Amino acid sequence: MSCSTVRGILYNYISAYVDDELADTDRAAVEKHFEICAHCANERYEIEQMKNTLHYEFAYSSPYGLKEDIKDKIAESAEPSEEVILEEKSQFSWRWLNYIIPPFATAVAAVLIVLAFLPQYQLSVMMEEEIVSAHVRSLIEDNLTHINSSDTHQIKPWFSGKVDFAANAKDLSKSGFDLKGGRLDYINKQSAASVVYQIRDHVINLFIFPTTEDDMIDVKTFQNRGFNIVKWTNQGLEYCVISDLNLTELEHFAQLYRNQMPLPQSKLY
Amino acid sequence: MNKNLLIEQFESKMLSHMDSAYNLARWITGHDQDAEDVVQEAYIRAFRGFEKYTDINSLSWLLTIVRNTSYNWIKSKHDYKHLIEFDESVHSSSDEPSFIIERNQGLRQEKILTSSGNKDLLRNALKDMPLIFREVVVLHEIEGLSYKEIADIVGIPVGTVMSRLSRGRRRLQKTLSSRMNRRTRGEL
Repeated sequence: MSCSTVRGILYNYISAYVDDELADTDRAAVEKHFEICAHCANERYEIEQMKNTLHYEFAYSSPYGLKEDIKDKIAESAEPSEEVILEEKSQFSWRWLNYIIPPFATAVAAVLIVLAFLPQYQLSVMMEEEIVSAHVRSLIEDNLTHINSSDTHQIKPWFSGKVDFAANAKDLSKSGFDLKGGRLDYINKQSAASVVYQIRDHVINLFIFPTTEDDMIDVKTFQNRGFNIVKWTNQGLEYCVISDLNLTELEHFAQLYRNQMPLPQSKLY
Repeated sequence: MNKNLLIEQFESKMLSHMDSAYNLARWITGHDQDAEDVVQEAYIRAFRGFEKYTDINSLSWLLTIVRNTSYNWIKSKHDYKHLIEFDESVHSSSDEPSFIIERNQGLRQEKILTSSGNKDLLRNALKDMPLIFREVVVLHEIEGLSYKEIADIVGIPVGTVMSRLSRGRRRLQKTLSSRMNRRTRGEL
């Protein structure tokens, strides 16, 4: 085994050796390498040393009293809540209210729901408009990319330092989507990264910017002024793909891109 | 099921994992009080789902809930700097965790970083590392979980656990040695 194999970027044999996760043959090969390479042997020693320090010295113990607090909370959540008890008590004397409150409460709830979602709806419409405008602007101003490259390893570092999140460019050329480059844009009052792809004559802008919305595994699609838009959110970032490409292929693009990134895991509770 | 019996079963099965739960929440949120709140909330969630999930690895299951709860906690505080990669050289705070009790110390071996100053540097390096690497390092090195268990908790393939772990280690080594150099030159 050579040093470059042993210290592979995708598979680091020294790391796996220290963790005892290697098959016997690989283990023997790595041990042989340690005998002839002081550099790798030293790296192994450093990793082991760090591993021991982390394991034996860096564990936080839960504070005194936490266990009792948890027990109290669990007992509490297993009991019916106070409101339920009050409701049961008041059932006799206030029974007539039961006939009046439900329709009234339903009406109030309906109004509140409309009021709560209206701003959000308007916001998403405004954002959609902004995305379309940014896309059109990128096409007419001869301003499609600030960095021209089909190399994902050039584009990602180009963005770092310009935006405060990791903007991933992915190589999807096998499926016909050629990477053209990257561009900085401004959407929703903040800096956005745009990764530009092209298939046949169709330009695709993939906008990435921070969002406070929860992860949305299902993609949303809509059309605006003849453009198709596909969007989703993942780990605090909103992804918005726009193009004049037909929706089926655009969804395929989104699917390919998403398949190369970790999806938010399903919640167990 | 009888309510008291359910509580009893839950407590006997899950409370033994409380130190691991707290440790993970503490390393993700970075604060004592936040970690306590997260752990309490996670236990209540676990209790609500307990009847449905009795036959699985209870530690992995609890830590999955703790991790999700910690992430929601960070999001609800809009504390995005935790979720986003950032430059280590810019962000180098020196505040110390208020208490670290050496839980695993009973089994202590010889090979550990000897100088306490270096340990502090390493602790801060881990604290400042981006969350995607930090959580894997914490789960593997401190909690001693296998690649497979971590893959289940974080929701990524085993190969990704492996590469994040080795990249995380490399980052830690780099940060540690650069900070040791800076300290030697009197900058830290």
